[in-house]
Amino acid sequence: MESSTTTSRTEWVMGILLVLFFLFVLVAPGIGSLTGWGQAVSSAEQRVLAPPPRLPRHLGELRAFRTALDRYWADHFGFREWCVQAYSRLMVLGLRTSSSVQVMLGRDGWLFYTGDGNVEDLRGATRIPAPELAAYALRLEERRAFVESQGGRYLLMIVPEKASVYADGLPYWAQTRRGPGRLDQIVDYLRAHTRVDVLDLRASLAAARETGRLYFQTDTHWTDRGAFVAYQALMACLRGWRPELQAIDDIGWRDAGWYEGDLARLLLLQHRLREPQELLALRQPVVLTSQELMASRPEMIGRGRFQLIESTHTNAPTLFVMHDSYMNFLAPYLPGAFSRTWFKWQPAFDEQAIRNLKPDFVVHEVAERFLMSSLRENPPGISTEQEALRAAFAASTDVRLAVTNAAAMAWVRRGAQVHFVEAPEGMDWVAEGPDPYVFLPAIAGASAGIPVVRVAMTSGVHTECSFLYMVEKQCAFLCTGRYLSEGFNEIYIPLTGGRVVGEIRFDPAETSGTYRLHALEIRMIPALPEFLAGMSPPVPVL
Amino acid sequence: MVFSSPIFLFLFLPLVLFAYLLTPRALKNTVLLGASLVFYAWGEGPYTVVMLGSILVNYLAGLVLMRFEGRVDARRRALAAIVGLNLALLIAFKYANFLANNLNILLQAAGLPLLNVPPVHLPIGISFFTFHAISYVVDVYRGEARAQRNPINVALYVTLFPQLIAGPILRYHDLAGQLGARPHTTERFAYGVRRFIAGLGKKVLIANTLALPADQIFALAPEHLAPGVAWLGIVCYALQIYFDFSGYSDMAVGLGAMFGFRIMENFEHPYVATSMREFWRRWHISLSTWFRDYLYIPLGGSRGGAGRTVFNLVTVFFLCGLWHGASWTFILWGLLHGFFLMIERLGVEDRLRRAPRVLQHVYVLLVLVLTWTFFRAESFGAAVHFLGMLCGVNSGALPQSVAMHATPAVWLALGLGIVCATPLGVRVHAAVGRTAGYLYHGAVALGLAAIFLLATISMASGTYNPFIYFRF
Repeated sequence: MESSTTTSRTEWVMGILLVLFFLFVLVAPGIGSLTGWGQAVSSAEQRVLAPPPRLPRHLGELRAFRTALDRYWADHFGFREWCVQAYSRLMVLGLRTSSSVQVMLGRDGWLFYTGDGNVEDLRGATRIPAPELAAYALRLEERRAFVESQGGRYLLMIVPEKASVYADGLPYWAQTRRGPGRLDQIVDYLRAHTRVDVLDLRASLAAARETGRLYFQTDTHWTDRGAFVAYQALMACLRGWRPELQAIDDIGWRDAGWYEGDLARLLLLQHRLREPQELLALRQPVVLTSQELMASRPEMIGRGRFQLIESTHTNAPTLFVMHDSYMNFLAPYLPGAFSRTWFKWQPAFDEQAIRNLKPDFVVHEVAERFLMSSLRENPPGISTEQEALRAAFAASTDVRLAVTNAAAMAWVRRGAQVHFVEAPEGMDWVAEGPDPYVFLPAIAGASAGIPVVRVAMTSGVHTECSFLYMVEKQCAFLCTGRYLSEGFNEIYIPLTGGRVVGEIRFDPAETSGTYRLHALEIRMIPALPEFLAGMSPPVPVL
Repeated sequence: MVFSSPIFLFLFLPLVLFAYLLTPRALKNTVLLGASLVFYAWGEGPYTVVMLGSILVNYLAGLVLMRFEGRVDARRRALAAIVGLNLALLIAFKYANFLANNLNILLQAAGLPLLNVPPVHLPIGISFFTFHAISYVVDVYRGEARAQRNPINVALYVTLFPQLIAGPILRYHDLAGQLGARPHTTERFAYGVRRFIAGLGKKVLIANTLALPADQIFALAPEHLAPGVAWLGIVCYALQIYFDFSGYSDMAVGLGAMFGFRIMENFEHPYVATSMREFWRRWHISLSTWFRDYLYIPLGGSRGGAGRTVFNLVTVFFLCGLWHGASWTFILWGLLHGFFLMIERLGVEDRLRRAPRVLQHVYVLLVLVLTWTFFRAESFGAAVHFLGMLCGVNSGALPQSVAMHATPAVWLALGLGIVCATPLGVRVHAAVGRTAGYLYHGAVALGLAAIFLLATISMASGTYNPFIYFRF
């Protein structure tokens, strides 16, 4: 009896302690949120955290308030970062399991990025359909022909993924490739069917592996060593065209402390998974002057923002580089061989800049994982796709929708985050957020032909407009879109994939701001131009 | 709002707990009703009106039934009307599109014009609160409980937030007394905390960990599937659904206890069953007993001969499948369960009992693998293809490996899941708990505290949404 009493008292005491702990854990985040304790927010998320919600002024705003409070609380409750870090340590360091779906843990400390279809590509499980390859090659061929028409040479420089060079760092299950990857397919196709020059860096990097680490273990990028191997390969390629180009070869290496990679940051373990960094040191400094050029300044040369770097070799050729983040590693010394080098961050192909600058070389540097997604349709000036669609559209008299003035806006059903203001030469569409959309009426009448949308719109920024629609006998939405450049755009978009049914969602942009719509028309064309007919339909999104 | 979200755990729950504990006894139900309505409106917004409408109608129906006391026919007609109304509400919101789509297939085949039914929003928990409402009026009709004069108590019975969106389905006569008066003791609160932590751990640490490979595998294109991967997928799913659902039920029981309620148990280690009959005595007990008490027995149960029993079973399990979702895969899932219960009744169970116990378990687990495949698959065709994979009949051209999905965390969750799916822990606690001292109880409390902390950080990490490129 006495034992039972002791036990129940013991149980009671432990129960009370547990309750106190439970209540402490429940209220600590709230107290932390109010007092600011444990509110440190890491910049590692690389996004703007949700702002505080605005109190609702009427019942109609309750839903928005609820969503805003949900988001705000999820981003700001106290001790959040401590929790995330603790979880990441437990998973990665304790259980050898990635705490992020974007990061794959490899062997011997290697981390790999899994986004953008990387994993399936690693397994050789991704095939680019033949029509898509053909369209891809056509666009590159258009670029090459255009650059040559301006007196330059065009080079596609592909930066391999870390996994393509350090496959032995992958987990065992990912090391067996079941077929050629996207890069193999593209390189083989371009070499067999086009005159596009392709610099595939895989062989150069593989051969240089013994010299040192070419990619960071905890980052998606290459190291200075890897970048220098790429530089040498690039210069060798360009010297094949202009032998007078002088490449740098008098270099050394110096230790530069610890490097915190972007993949380690994704895991929020950048302080635990850092690695030593080695920087390239030029023995003979390259004298360069740099300035930033923007479209709004008198030196306007193209669209958007450029970096112009000039060297002392005033008689050397000029170079125009469209690039992503990998090129930043070469930027300090690559311009040394050229009189002028313009760097332009992708993705749009800036034919206007090339027309104005007439560079000797146009290098289009692209990471392997962006090969497909970064090469969108060419600008109207050089795109045969747009020309063909424009001709077919003009030839059609089967008009299904024409929104060219305020009266015609009655056909448009408002969706969200957008309102309209009458303006000279059209309507101003004011996007109040990043996801503005409206609904266009269903395409009525006979089903023969393919609807083509003509959008004439002036945009203040680079953005993208898109259409979501359903086709007969499919339960998913199809999505197709085109880039909008700064200034006036006239684009033609076919809605392919089957007979379009129901309302069509039109997202005029992906950025808040004002967009002047001059015309939005839908006409039926009998069939797609022949070279577009084989292209795969838009990908279902829902 | 879900229990395993920061807004619930770190904002809603502490505020409600403190408000409830500081409120005088007479107003506790009002506070709890207010909290329950906020909890529901948080997710459903204007659709809360649907639930409030249902409560009002059923409250009035209870009063009408009480007024008609002694008038058998009038009471029966009133009951039929109100049950019909409840079912109509459920059909309108949950099954209208399903019915229209199936009817359109027939109309199309007959060359007739099709019905155009716009998509109907499904208010969360409508299946649960409708069954609660039916339970209320039927219990009043049967005289198993008095009709409530206080509308707050009826509303609280229907909306009580611990069980509002995922059950258990409480029978009114079980809860009627507790709505009037219930004890609030430290022991009860501590018990509630223990159950809530256990449920949160089941949901967050086991179910959520296993959900990732299960979801990925069931979403794979046929060419990426392989038998080993398919088996991993179905085992992960079987454990995920059990720990997800029973975890929610544990949290509901725990939260109920914190507010003084005694909520019925919903699961009793169903995967150790040796027959499908036993499985249904252990799985979603509140639903199976609801169907038994309000449908199977009123239909005649097993008293009308073999034919009638089979009919009743098939009807109950057809509706049970339909209750889970408006889809033919759910209906097939229900019918398959009904089929196995039927053959067990027709003699298979007797033969099973003579077989070694391990074979009885194997039989139940194989039936569950079969039925869960239909429950989880997106379509009948996908389910059949998946079953082909499990049997080794099909294999994809570019199959993925088990190692791709089975991380060390998944293996750990699988191991824990398998152990916790058995009554081992309960038996140890029953054997040792009564006589153990500080060491044992301290270890249990420490273990629960660790589970709570782990579940909390795991849940919190779900809000971490990093990008490799900066997003403005």
